[in-house]
Amino acid sequence: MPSQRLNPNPLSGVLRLLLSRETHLVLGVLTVIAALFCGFDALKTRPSDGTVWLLGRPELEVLDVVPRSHGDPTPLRRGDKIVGIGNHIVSSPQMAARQLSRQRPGSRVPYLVKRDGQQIKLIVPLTSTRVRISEYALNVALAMVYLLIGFGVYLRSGHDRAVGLFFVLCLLFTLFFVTNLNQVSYYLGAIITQNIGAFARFMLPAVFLNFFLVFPRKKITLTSHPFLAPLLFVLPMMFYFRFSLDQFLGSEGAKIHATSWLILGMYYVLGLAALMHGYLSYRNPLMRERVRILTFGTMAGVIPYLIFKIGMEELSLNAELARLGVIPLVAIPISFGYCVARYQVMHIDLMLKKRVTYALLVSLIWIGYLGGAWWLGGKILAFLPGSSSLEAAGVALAVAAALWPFRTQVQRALDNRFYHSRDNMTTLIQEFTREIPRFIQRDDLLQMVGDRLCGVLQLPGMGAYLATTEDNEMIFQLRGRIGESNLTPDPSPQSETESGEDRLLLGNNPSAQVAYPEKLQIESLAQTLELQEEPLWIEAGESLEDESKEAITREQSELRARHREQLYLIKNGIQLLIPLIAQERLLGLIALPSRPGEDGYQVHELQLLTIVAGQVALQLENSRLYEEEVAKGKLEEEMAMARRIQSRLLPGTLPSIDGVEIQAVNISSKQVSGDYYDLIEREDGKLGIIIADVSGKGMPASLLASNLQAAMRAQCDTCTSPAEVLERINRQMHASTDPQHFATLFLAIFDPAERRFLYSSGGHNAPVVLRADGSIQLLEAGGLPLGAFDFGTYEEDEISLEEGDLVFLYTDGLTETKDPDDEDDFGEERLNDLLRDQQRNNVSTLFDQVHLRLKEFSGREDADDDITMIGLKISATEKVALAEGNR
Amino acid sequence: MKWIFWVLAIALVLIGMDYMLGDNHKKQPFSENSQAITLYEDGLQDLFAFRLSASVTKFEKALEVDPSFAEASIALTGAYGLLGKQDEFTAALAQADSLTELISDPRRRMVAQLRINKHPDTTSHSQRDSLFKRLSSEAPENIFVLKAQVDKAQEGNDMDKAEKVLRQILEVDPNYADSYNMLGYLELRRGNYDQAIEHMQKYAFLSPGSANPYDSLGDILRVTGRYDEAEQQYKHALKIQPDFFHSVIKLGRIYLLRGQLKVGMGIINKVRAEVTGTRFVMEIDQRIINTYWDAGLDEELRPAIERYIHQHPKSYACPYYRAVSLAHQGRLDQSHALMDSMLAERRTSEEYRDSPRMRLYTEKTSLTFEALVSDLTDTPAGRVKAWQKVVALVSEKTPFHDQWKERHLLAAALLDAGQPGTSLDILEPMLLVNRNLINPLILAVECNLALERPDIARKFLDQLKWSLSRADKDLPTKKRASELETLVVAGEKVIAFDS
Repeated sequence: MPSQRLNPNPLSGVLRLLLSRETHLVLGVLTVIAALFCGFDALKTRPSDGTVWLLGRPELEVLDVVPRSHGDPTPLRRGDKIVGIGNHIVSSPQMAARQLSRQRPGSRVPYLVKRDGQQIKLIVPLTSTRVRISEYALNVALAMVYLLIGFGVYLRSGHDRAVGLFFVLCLLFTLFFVTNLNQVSYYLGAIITQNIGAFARFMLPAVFLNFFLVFPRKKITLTSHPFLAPLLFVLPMMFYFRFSLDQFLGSEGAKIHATSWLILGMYYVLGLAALMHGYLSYRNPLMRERVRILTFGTMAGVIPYLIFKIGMEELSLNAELARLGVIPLVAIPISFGYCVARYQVMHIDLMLKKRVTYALLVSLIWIGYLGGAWWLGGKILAFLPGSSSLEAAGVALAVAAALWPFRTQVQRALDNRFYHSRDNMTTLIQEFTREIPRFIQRDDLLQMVGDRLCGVLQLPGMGAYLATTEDNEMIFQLRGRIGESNLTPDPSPQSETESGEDRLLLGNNPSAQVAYPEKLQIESLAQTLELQEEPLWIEAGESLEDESKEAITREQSELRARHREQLYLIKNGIQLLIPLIAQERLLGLIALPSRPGEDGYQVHELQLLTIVAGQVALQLENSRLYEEEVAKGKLEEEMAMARRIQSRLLPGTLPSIDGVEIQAVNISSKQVSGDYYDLIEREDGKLGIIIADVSGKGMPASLLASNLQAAMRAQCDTCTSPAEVLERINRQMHASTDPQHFATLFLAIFDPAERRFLYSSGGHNAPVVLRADGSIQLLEAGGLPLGAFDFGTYEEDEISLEEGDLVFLYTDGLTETKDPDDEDDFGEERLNDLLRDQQRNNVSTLFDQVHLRLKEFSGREDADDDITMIGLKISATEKVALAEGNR
Repeated sequence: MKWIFWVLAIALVLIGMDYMLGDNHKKQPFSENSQAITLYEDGLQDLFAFRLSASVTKFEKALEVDPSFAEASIALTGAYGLLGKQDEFTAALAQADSLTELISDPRRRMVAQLRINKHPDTTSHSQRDSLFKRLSSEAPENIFVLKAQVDKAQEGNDMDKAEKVLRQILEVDPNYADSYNMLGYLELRRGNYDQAIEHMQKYAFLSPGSANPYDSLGDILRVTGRYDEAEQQYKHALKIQPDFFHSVIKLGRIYLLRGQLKVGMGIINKVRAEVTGTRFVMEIDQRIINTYWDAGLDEELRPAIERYIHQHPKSYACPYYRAVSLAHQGRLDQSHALMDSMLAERRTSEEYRDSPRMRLYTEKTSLTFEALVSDLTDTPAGRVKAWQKVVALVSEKTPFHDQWKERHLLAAALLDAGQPGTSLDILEPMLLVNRNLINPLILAVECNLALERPDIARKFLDQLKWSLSRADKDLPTKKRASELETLVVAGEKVIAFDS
């Protein structure tokens, strides 16, 4: 089934680009520029006649008159058509704005106005568009809180959808605040500001809702319907376009209508509902605690906004209480900031250590850089003729670019001075990336990584555990204690842990005691680690209920187990678990004790530990795969060797005896077994026939077979009694091999002249003698398998063979061949029937038929076990000489 | 660090663009001397604001600083022209002509020539037309060229074309105040008085330090009979610019129109003394003659005409005044001979051929003379016919408010011919525009009495009395109003008796 990833959505590229870190940073920079622009515009002293105009019309009609809080009221009225301002005829809003900008706030300017069909001249007192600094300062402060926390969170985080949305949310709130007090006016700057503010107002609810659909937990609906998130933005975008068009075309000018406000308000309500749902969906009280404050902070911020700002100001036009709806919004970034700093929500480090001095020095560098560029640019411009804006811009850019390397150098020096440890971490990560792949031995790897981490991060030590399974339960086996030199045995009486390990002190701090148990049984926490793939802080938390009561639900049971595990770890002095996860499998974990002093673990350290843990886990997985590969190679090599040995055991040519058809074959399986046969032509004209099956597979079996063959060759050449030979071999084998290594062997001495067949069997399958009349005789005389016991005695027997008789010797691979269902063996009966069926055929054809029938029976081409067969058929006078050897 | 090179490249592009678009490629100024340019531009502001003496001073200073500044010399010519100082005008024109020839840039030279040729004394109409056509295609947006187009359209009585070009000027420069002034007068000619006032208000709004807009606004108000408001505007103009004699004259006219001849004539005579030596004296003398004529003050009229003939012997109006005087003396043959001679000479002149305005003036003079003679000698029906010819001519060529005298005389002839109803048809549209026209009001009362409609006559009489409320006590018209009062009362009594 083809993967969905093979057919990516055409929009996915665009979406990926929109959600990329680069795009976010560009948005951030644009927001800062826009905020500076809006702030500058709001504080700029520009004249205003207190009217709202309809842009985009040839006639300059007064749409509305903004009530003035101070100064004389404007004599202009709604519906007036402004013909001239300040002794200039104005035929468009742009011209009017240009004329007005030439006036001075506070001055009284002549207006030529058409009112009720009459053209009249009015003297209009102008006020300033500048907002009240005292009121605006509050908005700027709120905007700064959002901007700083937004940037702080984003720059200290990895690339995460929720963080990206939170960042955009902060940017939009920043724009919302910096445009909050701006008066509507006709200046280009004010129009831009008005549009930026409107954009923020329209987009905020959508981003708000989207954020809380992915945070604190991504809603399953969004995962299964990825198009839903973009859809959220469709309505606000439409509202915004309507607003933009209304500025120029609408009969009432740009206005956010009540319907729009209602829908936008619904977005906020849904966002809050999503947040509350996310909060309540946490069963884990620890996780719930992590988002509790930000949940209530957000509610506390947004609900007043909904009531006072949207409900009362925008829908009821009662602006008196609007401020009550705006100020509480600051609760959102503050609660987020707190949770980020306290709980590292979204894996973010918001440590402010060193930041103030650092920020001051960075500011000084920038001031120096910009001041230097200004000064130098001014000097250069002084030498150049003319002073156009283009020329000034060109020179400014050139100077700024030329000075940039100096600024970068100074900044780098400062960064090194203040954040040397983080520079080290970057170096350390690079070092780990380089070094870790070189360690294939797990213990060496863990030791090296542990030593380096403890050294660089000055960790008090760590325990490295690898996951194994015992009785179907995952346990973690200690593979190394790192930093044990820092640990000293605790002399106090309570220094022994529950599991009996010695408790060790970190340095001389009695409060910091740690023990790394040989085995950790923390199944519940392991599940969390595997699921969350992030470091787990071990905190005791509160006991949920009376431990003595029996848990009723599975959740209660899990919580209780988890609580127990946490307590166990805490008692052992373990505060932090870093999971070693590769391919979504928890391979092990690193256990860290609490750090002495008040420093605790900083998030950048956790980030480093997490990164390194990921690399280590990957290498552990690689190590496992490598070992498997090596073992597999070794096995294959051994098999090949065994196969070679075995092939050498078999006779290269078969003896040729008049009146006797002799055939032998060895069919090898994948797993080389210990089958072998031998046909020894003795000097006295007799033929020694040996067929054996050594226990085991592969090289050991082959070696044993080789030894057996050597011994048999030595004994068989002159012997007269097969039983005696087997007795001797048995004793030798038992003396030289383990009891579990043994062999079944059938030895016969055939006298072709007399057609006498003397034999003895060492526990081997009884060969079959098929008489010419079709009767079957099994050659069963003998004893126990060779090498199994030292007390074995062997019988022997002799039979006479007549013309047409067949002696069929085989190993158990033949009769033990399984059918496809692995339920039934081929068995002796089928073999006997087959032999009878093929009685008239020669031995070679018989072997072919046996082979064919076995394949039919097993349904496979290859055999599970080696199959060896020897056939000896008495013919009249024909002398057969076939020596096929191995097939 | 590659981006630094990009930034440097952008910086270089910006500097390069600045060089490309910089001062080297800007059009050549009229003068290399910035002080001269400043003086010239300030002078133009004064000229457009009719602060003529101040503008002359600035143009002369500009020429001192840069003696080759042709445009300053042309503007100086215009200022002298408006001041009516003929000698200075002629000298300045000669200087402007010679300096214009020295301008190297051909287009600038042509524009300068066009500005010079605007003055009728300079070159022939054919030369002017040729220059005008060429510049209209080569420099269609040049303000001076556009203004020349307006002049040409107005001269040809093509008001639509004139308006179109004026609006074109406003597209080039929405604050070109003189366009609103011209548009205002254009609408006045069309009889769109409200729109004319709006334009003049814009003109005044654009030129708050200039007297002329208020003077123009006063003109429209005066035409529409809003004498008090017009008086305010003229006084406002004089407040801004006390030596703006145009407003003084018009203020005097307001008094004359109200029948306050003593005050009015006093003002006019005072102005006449102030503008002695300029061509405005002739215009004022004509105004004095017309005033006495309208008021029926024959004793004052004759000396005034004699003075005019004596002081302006070369004036076009002189033969006409002589002929009319002769006709009044009963010397009709001599009177006709003089007029025929004058008309023959006029009709063969180049100006008559080239200028529609001159043709109109000549033919109107001819027909008016015939009608006046007819008043003296003919039957009422003949008189009506003669005045109908005059009215037909002026109706076609002149604005409505400039036809009142001719229409009033036609109405009088119609009444004498026993056609009071037709006479009222002539009078009522005039009174609808300006209900304070004294002579038409008297005639309207008389027509209604003749039609035995004392009630309507009463309305006109009441309006007449209101219009004459501030008139001199010994004004003949006031005496006639008293007589009409008696007749209207009598008529009313008859009506009351009958009912």
